[in-house]
Amino acid sequence: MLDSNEYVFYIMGLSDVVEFILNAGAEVCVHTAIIEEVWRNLMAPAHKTAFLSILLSPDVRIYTDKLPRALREEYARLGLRGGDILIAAFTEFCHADILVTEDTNFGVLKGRPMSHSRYCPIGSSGARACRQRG
Amino acid sequence: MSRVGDIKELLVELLGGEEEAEREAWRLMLLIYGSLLRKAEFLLSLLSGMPSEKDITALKDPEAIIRELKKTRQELWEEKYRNWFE
Repeated sequence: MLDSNEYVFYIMGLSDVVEFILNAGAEVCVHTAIIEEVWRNLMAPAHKTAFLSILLSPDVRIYTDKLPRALREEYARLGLRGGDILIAAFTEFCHADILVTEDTNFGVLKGRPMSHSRYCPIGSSGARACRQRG
Repeated sequence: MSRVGDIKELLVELLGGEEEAEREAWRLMLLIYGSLLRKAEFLLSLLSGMPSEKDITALKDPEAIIRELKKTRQELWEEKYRNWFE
C-alpha cells in the first residue's frame, strides 16, 4: 500500500519507491480515495499521464470497497484523524504487507502489529530504506 | 513469417475467411487487453469531471507537499469518505 505522497514524489522525480516496488513484482493496492487525492493536486498533463501509467500497471489493484466500521474506530482510538483513518483501515482491509508513507502522522502505527500489515516509514531515504525492509 | 500481410493470409486460411480472422483477432485482443481496458474505463469514469485544484508539483519542499496532500485528504474525508465505512 503506497500513500499519496509516494505517487507524487515519484512523478516529481524525488523518489523511486513506486518504480522499485512495481519492478520487484509486488502487488500495489490503491483505494479510490488515494487516486482522487493525487489527481486533485496534479495539473500538468504529463504528470497526470505519469500517474495514470502507474495505475494502469497490471500489478496495481484498484479498490472501491467500503471498509468495516470497526477499523475506523480502531484507528481513531490510536490517534489517527480524518482521512488518515481511512488509509490505515484500508491498509489492513486489503491485507497489505506494508504501508509505505513519508507522513509522520502514521508514526502511531510503528511497531504495532496490524493483522497483516506493518508500517513502513521510509522518510527521505526512499527506496533504500524500503529495500532494507525487504 | 515476419510480415503482417503474411500473418493475415495465414489467419484467413486457417480460420476460413477474412471475417472469421477479424473476429478471432478481436477475441484475442480482448483476452489480452480486456482487464486493462476495463481498468482504463473505470479510471475514466472516476476521474472525468474531477477538477484539478492545484499543481502540487510547484512545491519543492517534501514536507509542504505532504501538508497540501493532507488538506485535500481532509476535504475528501469531509465530502465523501467519512461515510465509507459500514
